[in-house]
Amino acid sequence: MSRSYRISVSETLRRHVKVEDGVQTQVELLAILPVQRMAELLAAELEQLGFERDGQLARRTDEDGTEVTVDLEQGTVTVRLAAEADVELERKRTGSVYDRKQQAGAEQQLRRQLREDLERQADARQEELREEVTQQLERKLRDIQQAIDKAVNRASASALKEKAAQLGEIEEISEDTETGSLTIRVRV
Amino acid sequence: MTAWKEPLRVAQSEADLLTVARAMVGGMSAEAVEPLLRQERPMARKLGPTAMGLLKQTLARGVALELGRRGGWRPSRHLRQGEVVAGRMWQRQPPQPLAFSPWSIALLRWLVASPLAVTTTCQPLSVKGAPTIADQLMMYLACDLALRCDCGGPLAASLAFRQSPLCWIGFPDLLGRGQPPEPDELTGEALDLLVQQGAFLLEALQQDLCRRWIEQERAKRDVVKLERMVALGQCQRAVLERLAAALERSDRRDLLGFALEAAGWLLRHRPGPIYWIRGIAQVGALSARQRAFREAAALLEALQIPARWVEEAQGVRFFDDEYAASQLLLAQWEQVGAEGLAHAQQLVQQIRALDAFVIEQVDGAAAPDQEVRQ
Repeated sequence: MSRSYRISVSETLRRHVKVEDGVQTQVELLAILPVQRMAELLAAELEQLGFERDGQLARRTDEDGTEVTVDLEQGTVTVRLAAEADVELERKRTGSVYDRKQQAGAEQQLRRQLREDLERQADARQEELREEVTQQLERKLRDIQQAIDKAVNRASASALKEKAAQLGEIEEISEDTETGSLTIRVRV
Repeated sequence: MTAWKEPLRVAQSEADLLTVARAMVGGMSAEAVEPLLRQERPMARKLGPTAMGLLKQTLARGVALELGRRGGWRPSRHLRQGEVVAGRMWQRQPPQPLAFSPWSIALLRWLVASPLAVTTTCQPLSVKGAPTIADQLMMYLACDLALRCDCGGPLAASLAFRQSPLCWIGFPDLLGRGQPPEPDELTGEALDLLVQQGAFLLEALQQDLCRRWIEQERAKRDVVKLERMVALGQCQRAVLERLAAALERSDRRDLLGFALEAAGWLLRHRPGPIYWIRGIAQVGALSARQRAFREAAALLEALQIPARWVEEAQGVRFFDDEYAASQLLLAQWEQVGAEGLAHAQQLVQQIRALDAFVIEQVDGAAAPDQEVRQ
């Protein structure tokens, strides 16, 4: 009668995972005034939204870690969110062999399979974390786009007023904040 | 009374080759030859004189007829040495000779002998020498047949197809399955040669090319893999940009009419961006998704090129040499028009915006394919 030998292996995997997601878009800043002046006006508007100016860039980091960066001269808006997590996985696996000579080889094979399983699970956890980051970012994008669009519109309005003042004496300015229309009457 | 004539006899493999040739020129349905294309089968080393005679007959009669079927029948206007000529394919110019080289026979042999359904084991087509314009047309027809039989993988993997500008113009979706064209695969020289020597083919195939580009755009909404969309968009962008450059060099901007017609048809119901990105709207990381979104709009973005041509054409006065060509371009442009261009630009802007990712109602897009075309 044959006897079987039971093999039991356990493996632990610790991994520090870091995921990041982000998008980039372009805002259309009308060339009403020279680029540097338009950048200053946009920076001023963005500062009211909590952005901090850093040379050519305006940056804001929200409480949830979302970073919004606006390149004031290029008009590029970058939104990114990163997250980190420590993944610790521990698994055991058992198997059996009928020949003692095969014990070492079988244990090695079990250990390899276990490591591969753990790697797969760690990858899946990383992907889950990435999906969470993506969903978190998705929820914020519309608000960010709207806020930046408004800032760009207000910067354009300020630029128009400056341009009008350069052309002559401003007699009347009427502004409709709802429709965004701006009428400037200038005596040249 | 007609005397009974003994039917001509050819070997089985020769009969298969002739059957595939007939299917390529529209003489048989794709379904009828699908098993021939999908399976591997031995071929005789050479075609016998009877089979060769039948093949010549098939190509001589079939190719001209197929060109007519694919759009040559349609009265249209094109440029000939700066002047506009109107009419059907055979009315606009004297008959154009099509010279099929051994290249075409090698292509047919490969189609029959290779198991096209198994991309991994199918050897790519390899033929020495350069194909003639007629051989390129055969490759174009082969792409169409393989696509309809859903076994185009080996064609996309064959350098012979990937170096054919006519195949790239018609089938960027098929050839781009692997990767976009390398600079040496879709070269300016090859495109120049095609435009100079094969302009009559491009004219005749305008309607067919338009159909193919509409198909590609419509299929984008069903693409669910980001990499697939990126590859498709990159191919389309490369093809349109390089073709447009070649047409500019040859003063044959009218040959981009198929893209204008396709874009005009797609845009006339003013669809939303979801029409292009429905399948990938909620797939993968945002960074990867954004890249795929941008590539999905390749045709829409490429409209900037003819839009620039139109601006130039609008400035040409009636006594200028280019007046006729300019008027033809403006007439072609009417299919897209200023409103269509504005809508395309708006779509591109929407697809590039941050809130393009916020898709609330995926099925709410207007579908421009409600009516059947052609």
